[in-house]
Order: sequence, then structure tokens, then C-alpha cells
Amino acid sequence: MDERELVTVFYQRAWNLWDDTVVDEILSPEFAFRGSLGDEVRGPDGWRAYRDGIRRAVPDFHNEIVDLVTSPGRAAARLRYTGHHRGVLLGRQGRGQPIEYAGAAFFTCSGGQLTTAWVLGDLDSLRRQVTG
Amino acid sequence: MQPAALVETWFEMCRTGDESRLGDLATADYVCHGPGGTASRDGFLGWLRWYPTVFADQRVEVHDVIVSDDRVVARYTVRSTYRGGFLELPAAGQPVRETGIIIFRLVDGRVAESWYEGNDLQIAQQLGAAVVPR
Repeated sequence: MDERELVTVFYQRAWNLWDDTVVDEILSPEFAFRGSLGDEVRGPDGWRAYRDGIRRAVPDFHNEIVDLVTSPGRAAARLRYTGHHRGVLLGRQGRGQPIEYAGAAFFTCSGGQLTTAWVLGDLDSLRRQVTG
Repeated sequence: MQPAALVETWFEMCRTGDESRLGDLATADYVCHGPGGTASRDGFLGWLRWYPTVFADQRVEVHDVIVSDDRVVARYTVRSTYRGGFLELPAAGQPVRETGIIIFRLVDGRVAESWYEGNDLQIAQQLGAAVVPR
């Protein structure tokens, strides 16, 4: 897979479909992930733990790739996150209310796998939605 | 201007607040997008006059740049000293670590549009704001 395919599979399958079967294929064993909520984890299993936390909080969490820019070994995406807040997020219990916030991610790739992902999200907007 | 030089000059403009550089860097109809919404060129100029006075003594580190077609992406860290004026948070010379990603769309070598995401909530926490727990 090239950079564009890797990022697309990461969001459309590993995230949006909660498809665990692609995780070990697309994430390197040393994958370093900094999520939009600020957590930093390592390896496919570290990412799975982050994913599971998000899934408990927002079971229908959806990543829309708004823009995707790639070059050899690098990729960047502009994202729109949506879902319904049903678990605990930013310390608040959800009531099923819709959430939506923007983000951006920067990836490095090597050997047909994602090696790092560094993600930023508009947490102030998210905070206002979960505490409002 | 080559993309790498454009990124370097862009951050230098933001660091210094030197709005005279904007004519070379951005188109006349430049539009910027960020967590606060969308702003015109005039709106960006207002931000440019505000930013380096609030976050002073900036040290910029550009970690990565991607260039592809009409897009340039920069991932960066800016370390600075807080001088007051952000979310009405009191200033005590706090050190600030800002991280961000900016995606630029270029037309004829100048920035026509940009999208920014950063760690604004964490900056507020660095400055002592009470923010909901994780």
C-alpha cells in the first residue's frame, strides 16, 4: 500500500468500521501514535487500547477525510470527526448527544506501514460540546 | 518562492508580526481557517498583530514539511513566553509550548487558503486555565 492507501484504510476500516483485521497489516510494530485527545501510545496494541477507549465513549465515532496530502514517506490529512457521546469523554458522561469537531493528522510511513501518527483536534470545541 | 522557503518565511512573519511580508506570501483574497472559524486576509492581519505580542520570544521548530501539487503541509512546535491576552488568562511569563499542523493551498506560489489545527486547549492548561479532566 502507498501512503494514500494506508491513511485511507486506517480511517475507513480500522477506525470507521472498527476492523481489527487490518491493524497489524497497516501499523508497524513500533507505531507511535499521538491521538487527537492528546494521548500517546506505542505499537498496534497501544493503538487498539486508544481505539477501544474512544469506542466506549463514542460507539459510532466517524472519521471523514476532508483533505489528504501525500509525498514519499509522508502524509497529512484534514479531518472531521462526528459521532454520539454515550460513554465518558473528557471526564463527562455522555447522554447520546451528537459531537463534531475538526482535526489534522501527520503520518510517516515506511515499508508499506504507518510508523507514526501525530494528530491534533479542536478540543476546545469538543469540550464545549461535552460539557454544554 | 519555493515551498520550504515559503514555510520558513511564513513562520518568521508570524514570529515577528511583520505584516509587510504578507503581500509576498499570500494572495489578495487569502482565506484562513482554524478552530476559531474562517477569516479573511484582514482578519488574519488582526491575528498577526495580536499573536506575537501575546506569545513573545518565539522559537520556531518546523519538524516536517510535505509538498504535493498545490498543497504544502507543515508540522511545527513554537516555544514562547506568555505576555497576556489569551482567553483573559493572567500573565506571569509562563513558558508556552504550541504544536500545530498547517495545510497551505498555493496559487502561483502564494498562499490562497490555509487550515490550522493546534493544541489550543493544552496551551490554556499550560497557562493555568481550569479545564475539564480527561
